[in-house]
Amino acid sequence: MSDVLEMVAEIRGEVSAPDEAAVAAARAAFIAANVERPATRDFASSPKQPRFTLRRALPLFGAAGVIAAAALIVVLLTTGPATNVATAARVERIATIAERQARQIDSLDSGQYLLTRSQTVATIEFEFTQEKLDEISRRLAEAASRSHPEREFFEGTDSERIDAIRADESRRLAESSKHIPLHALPATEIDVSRRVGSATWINAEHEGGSSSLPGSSTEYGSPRQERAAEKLRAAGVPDGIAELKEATVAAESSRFDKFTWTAEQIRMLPADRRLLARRLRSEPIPFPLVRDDRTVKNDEELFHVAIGLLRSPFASPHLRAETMRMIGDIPGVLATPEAADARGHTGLGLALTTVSPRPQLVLDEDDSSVIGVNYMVDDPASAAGEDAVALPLAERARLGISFEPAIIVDGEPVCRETGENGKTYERFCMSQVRPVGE
Amino acid sequence: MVMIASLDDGQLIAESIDDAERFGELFDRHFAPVHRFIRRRLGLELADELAAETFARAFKARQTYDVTKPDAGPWLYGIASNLMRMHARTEVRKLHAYARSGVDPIDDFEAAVDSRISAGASRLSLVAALAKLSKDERDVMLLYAWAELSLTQIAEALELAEGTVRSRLSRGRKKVRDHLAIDQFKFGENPDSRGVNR
Repeated sequence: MSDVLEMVAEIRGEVSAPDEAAVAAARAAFIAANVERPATRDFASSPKQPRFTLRRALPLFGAAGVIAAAALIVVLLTTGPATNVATAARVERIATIAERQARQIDSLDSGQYLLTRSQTVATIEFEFTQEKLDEISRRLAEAASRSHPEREFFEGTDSERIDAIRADESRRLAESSKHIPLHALPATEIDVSRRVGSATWINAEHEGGSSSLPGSSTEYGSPRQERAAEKLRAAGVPDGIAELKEATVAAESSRFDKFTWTAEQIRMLPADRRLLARRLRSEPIPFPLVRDDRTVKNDEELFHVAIGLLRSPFASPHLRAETMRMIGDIPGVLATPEAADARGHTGLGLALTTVSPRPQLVLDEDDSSVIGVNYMVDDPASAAGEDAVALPLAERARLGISFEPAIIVDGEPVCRETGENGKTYERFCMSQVRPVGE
Repeated sequence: MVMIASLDDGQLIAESIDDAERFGELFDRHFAPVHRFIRRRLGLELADELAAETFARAFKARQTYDVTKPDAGPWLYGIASNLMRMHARTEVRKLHAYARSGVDPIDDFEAAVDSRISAGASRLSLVAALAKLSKDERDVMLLYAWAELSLTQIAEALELAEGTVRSRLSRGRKKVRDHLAIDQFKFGENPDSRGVNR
């Protein structure tokens, strides 16, 4: 039986002990906290403290009152109250709905998994220069010709025919590459393809024949970008050729809501709106997928970070509720009932009105899930003095994903769905899931 | 020439009662292995916190230590194990996550990628088996396999009878072996053919 223990001994055997510097630092902290400053105070040997009397305390109360008033003014000046009473009431209502779910489900952890549904289509395109597109097409053609079933027959025997086949394939691939968005992926991929510890969900085009791809990487900025790059790489296009840029989002000031929080990161966040805002504004937010740490610089970025949090399946109902309240605290946030996203789904809209285009988060008023995010501009008619009308920018429609708690049921990977483009997509789920409660 | 023999842990703790700073030497001797043990079970972040807390508690309780015992290791591992029991759910969750995905959540991102590549299905099956053990069985098994304590030392650390430790270890081994056998039956001779992260 010792073999079992030997095998167990090897698990995480590569984990190292702290180095000398770390031990020294920990020792110094230990000495400072425990030895030099004992946890229990020796009152018997302490010098006698002056007796507490109300008269002595009155000036202290007065000073405390002045400080508290000053602090309140500072808080109000820096954070400001919710834009108006109606907005505050609506935010509170939706936050209460979010909070109510705490009684229905536990906070989700990485041991559980989720069903997803997409509500808004992403219309993000990558930009390629014609030169790069040509190069990619050429590489795709080469890759295709290498795997051509008649390659062996033709190779070395009829170079002209091979060239003709290659030329023809090259032409067709070049043509098709203009129409096939390399990164076109269903919305559900974005948030499920990440390191959650339970399973990596991998999508593959059911008909397009692309291979299964890893869900995340430190090499590229996002799973979507990685997939596009992986496709190129699989086709023999070396790294670095495709400088992937997301055209429609490049103009936007923030990508914070694209950040996919990990379960651990979520757990580290304080579930109190003021502490949360302070934490998000003061400490860099780690972006595991883009190898970049960023600090929230302004209200707009905070708004987007909050959207990312609300979309995370790992945020507890309480954290979601506090995140909504934090959004309500951002100066210039305006709540609009019956706001519609680009596809016509309606819900409570929370728009940040101090920037343009105005991001508007649309929340389902029944279950507080994120329906989508609009980017609003004023109708040009308003320039002519007419009433301003906010128009959602359809081409900037964001992913709207709502998560439902689910439990894992072992089984075959059979998650199929039809995408917006009519294609059938197959999610290799590793495990099937079913909603909690069924 | 006067030879100054280094003090054993018991003597050191005895001296630390009057001279608290002597406890720092005990810290130097045992902090790294205790930290590593906790890190293997719960990850770096909790290891930093719980290892520090282990020594803080040990320091406060040093007057209760039996100073005739020359090795304070089991005592410290015992305190650490008690602290870790509060995080048993986290540990099991992380083991399950590791077993399912092949990505060890206690590691940093880059290391996790490496371990995902290298972790075979048999390793993952073993991890899954660990997750299925009871808290008591896992404590004993990991103190034996990872902290390399003897049965007597584990009994001392967990304040159990040695026979109890022996039976828990035996039960844990059997469960792990049964789990591995079932997995091999389910997934064939080559367990690495199991579809993980493909």
